[in-house]
Amino acid sequence: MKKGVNVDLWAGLFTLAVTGLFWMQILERDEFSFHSLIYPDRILPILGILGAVLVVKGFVSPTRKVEFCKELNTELVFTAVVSAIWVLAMDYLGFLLTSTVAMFLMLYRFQPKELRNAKSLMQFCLIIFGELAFMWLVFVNFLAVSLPEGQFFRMIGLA
Amino acid sequence: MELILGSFGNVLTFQNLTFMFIAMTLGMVAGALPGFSATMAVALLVPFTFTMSPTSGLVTIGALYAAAIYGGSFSAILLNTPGTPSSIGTCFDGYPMAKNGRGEEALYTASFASGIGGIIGTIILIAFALPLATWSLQFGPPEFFWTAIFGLTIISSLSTKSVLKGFTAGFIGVVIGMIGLSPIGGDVRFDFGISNLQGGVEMVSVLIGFFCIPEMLKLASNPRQEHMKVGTISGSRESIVKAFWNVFAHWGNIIRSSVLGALVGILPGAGGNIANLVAYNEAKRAAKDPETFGKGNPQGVVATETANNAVVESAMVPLLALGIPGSPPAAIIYGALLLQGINPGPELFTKNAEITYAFMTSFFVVNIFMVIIGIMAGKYIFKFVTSIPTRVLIPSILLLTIVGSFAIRNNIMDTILMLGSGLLGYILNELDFDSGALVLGLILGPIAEKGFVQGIILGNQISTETPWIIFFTRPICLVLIAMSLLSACWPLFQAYRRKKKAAAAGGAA
Repeated sequence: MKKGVNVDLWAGLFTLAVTGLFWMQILERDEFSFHSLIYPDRILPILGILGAVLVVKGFVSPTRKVEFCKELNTELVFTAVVSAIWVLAMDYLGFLLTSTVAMFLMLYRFQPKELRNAKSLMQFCLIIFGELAFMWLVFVNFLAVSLPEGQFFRMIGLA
Repeated sequence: MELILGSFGNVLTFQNLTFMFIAMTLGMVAGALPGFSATMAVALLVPFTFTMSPTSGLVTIGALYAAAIYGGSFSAILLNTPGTPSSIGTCFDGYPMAKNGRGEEALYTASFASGIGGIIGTIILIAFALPLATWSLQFGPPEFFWTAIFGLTIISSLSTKSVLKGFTAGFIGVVIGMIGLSPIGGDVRFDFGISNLQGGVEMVSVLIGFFCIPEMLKLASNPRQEHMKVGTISGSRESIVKAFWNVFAHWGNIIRSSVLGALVGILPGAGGNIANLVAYNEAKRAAKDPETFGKGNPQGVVATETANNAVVESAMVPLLALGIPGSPPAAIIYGALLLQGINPGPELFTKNAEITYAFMTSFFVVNIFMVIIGIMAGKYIFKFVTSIPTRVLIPSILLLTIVGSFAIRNNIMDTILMLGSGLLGYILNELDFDSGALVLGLILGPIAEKGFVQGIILGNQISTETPWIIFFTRPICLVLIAMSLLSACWPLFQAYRRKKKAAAAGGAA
């Protein structure tokens, strides 16, 4: 029988890691004034204690999750990776290009294989064009938000 | 009374009603767009009101503000993404209702609840503006610190899986909230060497990430699945009737949530972000079936929506009575008043009483209109969202979250943070941490820090050896401490009572 993941232990270790990461940021105490440290000095030990309690609970009476990350499959990883590249590349390649590519990739991947044809490709283009045009109109034209044009295009003089 | 009745005449002109209708429609759209806050919507409208008469300008701004807060419930219910921070609590039961085929009912419930919450808020505004404003002035830093602590104790009943993990998530939220400039010392802390983090994390971005991205990832794991059940429970008419009774058969919940919303809304800096969660917590605590909260109990939607709409009107109390804007939208309205040549403060009730009362009574009209427009729009919005196949919905929502998080400060870092918190939120959910608790910590952490440090500075003037004593000697602080203890211990007491009952039932059998 599958034992499952000890989520208490992992949650405790994660909490301790967060505490450590933040604590390291204020090790150089001379750089900060008394008023900037008085609150973190109280909060971080409490978080550390909570993390330690979770670790102890993980050993004493652990909560085990058999279906840990049950949704984790190639489709989910694909979506997460494409979203990450979409966001990270947006500043360099611009909002329009990255959004078009990322949305097209997702729509294509999520479409059942037997339905991928010229008609569906046209539909994808219409969806992407419609949504991007709407977003551009609302946010750029009406709300004066300057969506990234892309450093790359600015560099080569196209933006 | 004559003044109030007369002010209805000033509000109910064809021109004002047209402006209010347009503003409400725009406000609902703005509120429903994640990342586009009520403050931004109000700020964008103000320039258009310069040319209007003071009464028309103010009622238009008021209509937009109220509708934007209400509009946040659309995306909270249909996409599990709070359109504004005031709708965080609406996600808890609204989205499960939608997933269970009761989305339309949830939207109508939010409409009725928002309307009645707003009307009660308006009554409180008109009747108690001056005394409540004076009361709110008694809140100093120690009181704000304890208010934040009281807010954090809500975690104990929010966390259904584990109270320990709930508090841990809350403290992780508090720690994330410390990133950037410290509110009192002014030093840059916890920026990890990233210059974009020096200004702190943008709360709305993190909020979109934590609530929306994990849900989108789960949908992406099976893009051919149905994103929510449609009309399996009832049709539109039946849903409206059910929604009506969800709200009006529970007056206790309505009154409690509205009064809580109004009281929290009066406190400068608190507002709808806290009020909706406090009201949700109290509704759950008072319910006979608290275990159904978080699984699609309409009373959760009623509590949060009545509270956040009562906040809209009560946030005007310190502004109108004392000239102190208690919330960012109130600050913009402050500016709009000045531009109209009106000085906010006590003279509003004497020199400009006609305009002031017209502004206040306009909220009655706005809230009634909001229910009507909300019900009409809700039906079509629901049908539209549910007609989109999941495989198209995923990239579309991702596009919306990316643009929404970027638009807040025109900063790509906010978008990266949004996605980062989304991926982190997915892992934390799997580790049984509660996203609601984390977000609560993120909202209340900075309020608690400011109150704590300022309180210590104040305490130093009383006693340099024991400056912390100030937190335990003021009357309002003592009341808040008692409330915090009660709030934190209540779930434990309930669990003990349930255990005792079960043991007694077992013994009798």
